[in-house]
Amino acid sequence: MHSSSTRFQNIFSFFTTVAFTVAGVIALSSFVFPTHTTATGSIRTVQIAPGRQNQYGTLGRRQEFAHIKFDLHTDLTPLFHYNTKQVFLYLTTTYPGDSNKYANNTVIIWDKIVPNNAKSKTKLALKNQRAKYPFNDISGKFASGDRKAELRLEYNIQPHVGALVWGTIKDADTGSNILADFVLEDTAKAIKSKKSGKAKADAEATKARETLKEDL
Amino acid sequence: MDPVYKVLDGFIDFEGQKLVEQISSTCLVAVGLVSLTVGFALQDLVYTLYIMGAGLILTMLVTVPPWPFYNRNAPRFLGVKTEKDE
Repeated sequence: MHSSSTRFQNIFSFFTTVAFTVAGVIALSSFVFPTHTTATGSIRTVQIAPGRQNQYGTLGRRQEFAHIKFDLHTDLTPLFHYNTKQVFLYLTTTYPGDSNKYANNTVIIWDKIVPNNAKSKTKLALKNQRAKYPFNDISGKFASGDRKAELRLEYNIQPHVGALVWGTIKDADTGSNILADFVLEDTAKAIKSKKSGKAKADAEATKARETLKEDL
Repeated sequence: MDPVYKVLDGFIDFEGQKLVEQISSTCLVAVGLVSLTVGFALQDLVYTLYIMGAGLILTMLVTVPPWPFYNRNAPRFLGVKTEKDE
């Protein structure tokens, strides 16, 4: 510490030690905050149609795509604390698929980056939201047979300092990791038949009313 | 060139060096603790960052230049021996 340069070097070196310790304490302190949140989610419609996806400027092979629309309600506020830079939220679908070859499949159908600033909304209320990414089976066609799929909402907290934290948001009602069970089948037909059935019923009701009026 | 070297070298005496050691360590540890507490209390890491930066600059300003109070105890050397003394 005799000359100015040695003083500068020694003090800066001790400062780096202090800064690293401070960063370590901050990283550890992020585990103090509870990250418990719940969500509700449901599938509105599933439409399965053949199509070709644009892949790097050329058209990919013709294959089956599932077009999903869903509802999602969740409050992400508990995931945000002073050491949260942003939260990456992603919706995954798991389905059994072909039991011989590709038995367990997980596909991310939608995601969102929620940065930690005053502008971003931490409460999500999505209604009839279209899936963001194409959803197709690795074999090109969804296997016949068991098509029961599960919907999960997962997150990744990205901190300013410290470790990344992964987790799954639990269902508000059941408390399980699965937000919704659904079948990977075209719902359009089912809705159509329901609609025609309803139209029939309406027609019958008006007819009945008219006959009532005539009677009076 | 002597005056220029004197400023650049910034030599201080032994007591001054001891003082610099004490001041710098206590200041930096205090800055670290304060920045942590303020950042946690106000739930914003930006304060932590700024307090650390400001603390480093202040500590450097106090300890790096050869301020006069670091040179108050100049070492006393023995006088030059001459033949007469023997």
